[in-house]
Amino acid sequence: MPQALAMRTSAPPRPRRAGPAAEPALVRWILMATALAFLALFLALPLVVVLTEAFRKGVGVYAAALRDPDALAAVRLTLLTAAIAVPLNLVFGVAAAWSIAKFTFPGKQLLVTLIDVPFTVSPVIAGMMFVLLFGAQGWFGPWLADHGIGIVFAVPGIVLATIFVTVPFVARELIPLMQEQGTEEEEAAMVLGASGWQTFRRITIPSIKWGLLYGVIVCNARAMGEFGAVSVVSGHIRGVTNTLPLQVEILYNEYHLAAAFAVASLLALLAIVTLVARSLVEWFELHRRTDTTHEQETTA
Amino acid sequence: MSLHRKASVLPGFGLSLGFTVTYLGLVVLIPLSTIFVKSAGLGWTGLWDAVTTPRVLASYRLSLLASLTAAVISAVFGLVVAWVLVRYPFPGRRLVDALVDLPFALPTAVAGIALTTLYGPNGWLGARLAPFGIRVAFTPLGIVVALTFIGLPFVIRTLQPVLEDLEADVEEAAASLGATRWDTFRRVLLPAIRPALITGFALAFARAVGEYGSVVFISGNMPMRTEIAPLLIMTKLEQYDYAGASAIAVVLLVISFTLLVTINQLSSRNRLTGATD
Amino acid sequence: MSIEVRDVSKVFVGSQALNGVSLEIPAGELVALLGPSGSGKTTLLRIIAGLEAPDSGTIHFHGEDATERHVRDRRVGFVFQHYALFRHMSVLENVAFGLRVRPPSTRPNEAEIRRRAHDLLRLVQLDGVAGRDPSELSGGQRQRVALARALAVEPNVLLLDEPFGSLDAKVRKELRRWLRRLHDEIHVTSVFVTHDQEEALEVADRIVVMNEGRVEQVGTPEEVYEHPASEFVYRFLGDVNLFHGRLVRPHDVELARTAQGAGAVLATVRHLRPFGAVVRVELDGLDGGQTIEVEVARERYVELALQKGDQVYVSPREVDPPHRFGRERPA
Repeated sequence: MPQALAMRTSAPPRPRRAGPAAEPALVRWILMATALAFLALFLALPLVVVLTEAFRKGVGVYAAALRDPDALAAVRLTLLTAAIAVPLNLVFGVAAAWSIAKFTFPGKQLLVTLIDVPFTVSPVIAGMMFVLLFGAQGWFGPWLADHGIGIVFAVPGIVLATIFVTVPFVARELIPLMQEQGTEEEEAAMVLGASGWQTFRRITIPSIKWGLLYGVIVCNARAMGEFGAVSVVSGHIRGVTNTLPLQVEILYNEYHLAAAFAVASLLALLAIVTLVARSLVEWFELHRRTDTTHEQETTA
Repeated sequence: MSLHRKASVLPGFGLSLGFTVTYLGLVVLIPLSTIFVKSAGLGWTGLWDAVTTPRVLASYRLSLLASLTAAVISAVFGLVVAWVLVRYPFPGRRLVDALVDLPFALPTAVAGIALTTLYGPNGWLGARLAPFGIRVAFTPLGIVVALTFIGLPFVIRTLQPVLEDLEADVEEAAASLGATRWDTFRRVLLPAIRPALITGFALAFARAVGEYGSVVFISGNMPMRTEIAPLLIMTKLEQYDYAGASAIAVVLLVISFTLLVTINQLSSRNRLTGATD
Repeated sequence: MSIEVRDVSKVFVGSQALNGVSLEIPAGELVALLGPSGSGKTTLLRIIAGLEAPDSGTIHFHGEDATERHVRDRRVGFVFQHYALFRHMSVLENVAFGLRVRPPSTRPNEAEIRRRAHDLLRLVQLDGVAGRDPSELSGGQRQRVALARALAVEPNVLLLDEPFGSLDAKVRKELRRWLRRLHDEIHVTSVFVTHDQEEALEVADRIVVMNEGRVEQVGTPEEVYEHPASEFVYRFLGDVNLFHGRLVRPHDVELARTAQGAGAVLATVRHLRPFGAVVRVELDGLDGGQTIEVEVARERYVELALQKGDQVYVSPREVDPPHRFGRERPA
């Protein structure tokens, strides 16, 4: 999968001042107006709607919706799910990026493609897989029933589905980053006598720390916001197996619109925080980057 | 031929690769295989029958057409947005640039209810469009709107780096040779960004085909009319028709994988030949 | 510490990078591995370092077989072409790294580490920038930091992979001289890889000329230049002209207005390039039409009053022994 949504690793050039060879000012204004209007219509408005609808019945109703025990349970479950899924996929991402970026082996391209698979699978199918595995008639269904373990329609199933959906996120950030950084610094460290672990801890990790953070931020956003996959697996048991997005759905389907949007506003806030954090991390990475290669210099 | 390892002096190859492959196998491959196994249980004829009922076919048609339409709209307007963001400095550009990723960061359910409220009969936009006879919510048009929302960042983010890398001198050369601005755009710039445009389009399309959360609220889910394939799968699951759901899913998976492979081919070809001359 | 390479071969996908290479590098010498790209010189250097493993053959340090030893146990210092400085550490921390990662039993204390790092930076004349980031330094400065870092662990062998390849011509020359002086001071066995014959001739005690995975010749700069063992070595180390099956250096060719002896050839002056104390003259030979390159001393040039388009006689001076490699070939 191309790195369309990965962290920038080089600063974008400043927009060029339009010279005489550029399009006429009128065309520029039309294009700019079209672009901004389109973005306002398609992106900004929905965000605004969430906030206005959340407060439509006043702050009191808003606060009450958030204090509702089911909503609080949903918050707790969402946080728990992310707290499990993100670290696991973080470790996976580091391992995958290390093997892919620092070594060559047959089948590497296939591996990279496989990592992207969860991206392309419809969330509903993602959830369904786990029902087929662990549901009552699933492959492990009878065994689980015998041992009194519930996975589907219980928290473990939600966690599993979330893990599946967020597998690629950290890996996709780290792989191009580590490929770009090459192997020379690690080789230099080993020649100087560092052990494998020392090399990894002192040389590799500091070089990738912003990419790691970026990956964790986007992985977390997706983990907390996952809807389709979790919807299939959860069974919608109020107060027990509802994450925040599911809680939003239930409230909305029961026409508790203000409450639904109140809960949704929490998720919207999460989205905004995610976008801000991402930009900050990107900024740090760009401003900390040192280019130690390929430079012609005129002083010894 | 020996398994040549570059920089094999670096540690942890076996450990990292082993862990990666095991993790992928457990978390991704084995669960995916259940779908194929389940639908294989129907046999070829059973599978064919399951996916060719009018309702299922209608859902495929709807998913594919709506995704295609949405991807086209995303491509066209995404190009305009990317162009403006890259080339025209204006106050607040960085803010707008960050906003582009909103559909990627916002949970799909939130987007779904927001869009439904916005375009519903009493919504800000829905109410304004109603007098013109345009209904968005609970129609295929609404589905297209939702899919455009989620596909937009893919197009824009794929185009931006390519636009940024375009060299000014090529355009200046064209102008000095007497080309009009439109000519230069059509004959010089467009071919240079076409690969990225196609990739972005394919990404948006692939994402749209499987999309559930953003669409399920605004579509209304009327069978044969506004029932997208993922929703039909959900319905079958609720009816415990796991085999039928698997059958529908298998087709979607095949489409998704084909798209994934195509996109990877496209983008690696872009990297090799470069998107500019 | 001396290095011995015994019959080392290495294959990369599709190509034979090294083919049965054997070599002895005496202790304390500064040796150049010289050759065109693809000659295998960098591969050989990396195998000596332990960054690559040979498919067959052995490496010996001071008589001991070191082939199976891991790179971190070989006590070699390696300087990379693109410096490979640790980007997120200061200059001082870069130099101190090798000391910091020592096991606790052999690690000096903090004060000692810093002292040694500063000493080394003083050696490479960069103590003033100890606190800076590598990104703030010029290319030449970075390479000197890389050298200091490699020397910090007191290696038995210093290996440099095209150390000046990324630098400006003027910086390259300065650092070349500086490396030579440094080696004279510390006498560590050093091997550096280069494709620049001028660099090898100027800096090295001994040159190993390599081509296509094989050693063509080993010798002092005078030996390989004056007594080349093969046509490849002769051509690689300097310009050559071909006269009746003989290869002759541009400065071994005489120009005159009248024919001097039987070997003289008539040629037309095409191009004149003053170059300090000599003038480089490019001529087209009238028989066979070959291009001849000649270097004449400035006085001779003035004496002859050469102009573009003049016809002069070109005769090779006798060299003892004459370099004849194979039959006469069209130039």
